[in-house]
Amino acid sequence: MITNGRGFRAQTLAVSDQAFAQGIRPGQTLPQVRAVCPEIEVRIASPVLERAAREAMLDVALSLTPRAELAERTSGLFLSEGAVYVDASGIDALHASESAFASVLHARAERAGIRGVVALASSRSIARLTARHLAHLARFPAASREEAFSETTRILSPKEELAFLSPLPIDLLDPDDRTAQALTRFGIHCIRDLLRLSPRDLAARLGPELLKLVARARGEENEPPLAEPRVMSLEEGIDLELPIENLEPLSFVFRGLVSRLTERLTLRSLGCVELRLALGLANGARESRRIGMASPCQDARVFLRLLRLALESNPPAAAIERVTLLCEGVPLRREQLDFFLPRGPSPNELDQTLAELAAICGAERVGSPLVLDDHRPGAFALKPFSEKKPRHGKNVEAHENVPRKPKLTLRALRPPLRAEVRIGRGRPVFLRSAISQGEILSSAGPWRTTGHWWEKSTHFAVDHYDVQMSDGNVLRLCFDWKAKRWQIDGLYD
Amino acid sequence: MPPASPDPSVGRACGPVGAARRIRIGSMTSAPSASSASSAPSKRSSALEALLVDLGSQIHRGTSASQRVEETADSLRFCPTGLPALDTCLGGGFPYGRLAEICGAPSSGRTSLALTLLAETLGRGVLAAWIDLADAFDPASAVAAGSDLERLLWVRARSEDEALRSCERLLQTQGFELIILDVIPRQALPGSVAIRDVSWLRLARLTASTHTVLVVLSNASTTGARAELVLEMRPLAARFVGSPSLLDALETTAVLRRHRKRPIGQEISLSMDAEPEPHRLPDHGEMR
Repeated sequence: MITNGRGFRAQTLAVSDQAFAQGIRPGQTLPQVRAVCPEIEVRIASPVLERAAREAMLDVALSLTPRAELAERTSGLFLSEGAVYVDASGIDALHASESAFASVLHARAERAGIRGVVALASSRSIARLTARHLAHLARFPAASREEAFSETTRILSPKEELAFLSPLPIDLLDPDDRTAQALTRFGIHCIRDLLRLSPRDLAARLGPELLKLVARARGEENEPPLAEPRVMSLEEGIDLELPIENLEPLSFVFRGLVSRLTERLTLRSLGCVELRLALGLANGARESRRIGMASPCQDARVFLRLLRLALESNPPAAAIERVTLLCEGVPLRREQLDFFLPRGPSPNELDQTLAELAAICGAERVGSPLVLDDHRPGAFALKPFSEKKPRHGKNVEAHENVPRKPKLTLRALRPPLRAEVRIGRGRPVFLRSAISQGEILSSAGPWRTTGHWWEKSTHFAVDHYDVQMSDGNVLRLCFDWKAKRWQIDGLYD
Repeated sequence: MPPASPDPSVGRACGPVGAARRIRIGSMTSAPSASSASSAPSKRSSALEALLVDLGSQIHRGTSASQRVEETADSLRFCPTGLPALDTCLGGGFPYGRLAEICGAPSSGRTSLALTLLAETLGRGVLAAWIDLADAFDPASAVAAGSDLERLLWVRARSEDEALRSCERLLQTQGFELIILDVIPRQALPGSVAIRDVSWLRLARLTASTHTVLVVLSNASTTGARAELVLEMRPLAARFVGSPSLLDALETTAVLRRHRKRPIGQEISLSMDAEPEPHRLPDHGEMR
């Protein structure tokens, strides 16, 4: 059974068939349940999982109709119930029949990992009562009604609604405990009994709450669902029964979450550009990772790979107890291929590659080089690599037709290599270092570069020389005025 | 063979879609003509010819159709360096889907040649990657060589293992036309990084299934028989000019040490010109 907590006041939310057979009912407190069945296995409800399931139901409904809304949560017997109202008016234009519409609804819900029942009626309260009845029959089929076991859809025409509802138990109306006991005392067990009596007289005896029950039974709540503004953020999560320390078992958890997330993204025709992984750890700490993508993505494999890499490169500090995935849905981008140029890597593949390279070498060591607008010798930065749209036709051809002249380039030594230099007549004449040693045959320079003189910590002043060594090396030598030492910046190669 | 005439019923739509349609119709209409009696390769070449005509023929103007087709096919197989003499020596450039190596002593122009190849490749609007084991890549030099750094992925590996794993991953990505794997070590410049032969074999096999040129930069030839071609760079002299003197150029020779399809031993003289830097004005200050 599932409860909403561990304490003495924890209420039962849902029970298994075996527990139900032993007399345990939703709404009972944990001590009551333990008194009936001491060896029962208790699991704590996961609010994040419930919330995600409700949102998934809404996503399924909104993928078929523009007007759908989540039913308000109830208490008591139907505390764990999740329901969504769907406006099914005018569906004939899109679906062959109402039963075909219900079949599609079932199929999409199955893909999102939700099993439920569908009831179509003239009002939302009658539809909900019918759905509750179907759900009850699906769990506890009557011996005489074997055919009802597989019934997950019921379409009621207005004429047959009363006949269908009349024999149903009064509990389906979800009365509070006091009203339910009073109705039982009066001998009112089914909806038929309730509808036969005058609501005004009953309300005078049992209170105004009873009028709501009558309105539900009569199907007076018939306003269509409101068109809710679509929330673009999606959330999937799970509270783990036991903390997980290793990545391998965690990947199974990710698989379930990601498959549901991608299914919801598909239902909404959205993609994800940034995935946020929130982790609740066993030591009470919380950690999060942000996984960015170059383009909106719906591919579960890409998500799984990136999640794995994110945890591999930056493992959590303790075992994981709760996993939540959040993503902001954005419209999908269609890839436009160029007719004249070779195709580059797909955005998803590129994301995956960059994430993997960042995991291998470190995120700060992978990217596009950028020459900084700075006088400091060799100043550069790395910026995140992204596939830039290639240049088109004429420019490329013009570029191809220009014969290239090779330029002398420098192999940088980072950090610069210490060197010993002998000076003769104001110029370097001999050098000793780890990469080159000997007489300096030719030299050019010095070129003085100074900067940041206003700040002591970053101030620099260097003299550069280009020198040719007797061993053939051509080096860029520099004298650092701040450190008062010679060093080799790079090798011309 | 003259280019296939466009079908008047189609109309001359602008853009690539129109071009593709015209070619298809042209080849269909030319097939039944008994006078041509052309074989399958000639049909393909006529389609290619028509494609070149339709695309405007800005390039290769004035050359024969068969030569144009040949050159187009070459551009699909080779990644040119942009240095005509070297490209001729290599038979068109560095072959796609193959492992190549540029080796040589320090200051022999290995990096300059690699950057020239990189600039030429990036200039075509494609992606390239530089895997840098010694952290020696100088972005300023790359810009001076004409590289568009926006399309360059720089991977600063810290060990051979990281460099090889990064290289494998990039090859699997299938979208980088050129990957330069710089395994020249930082310190012990004479000598080379010890990468096992089986690693080169693995990389060569991975490269074979891609449209990528993998170029290894090393001190001494390290890829062995796994490389399609090995180009050895030999330093000649550094040229200093003027008074006070300036480093003007590095004279080197590229020797084709190994090639599976071209005669080896060919030598190409190259001159790597130093980029004049505006701030490099001689200054004999009295700071000392």
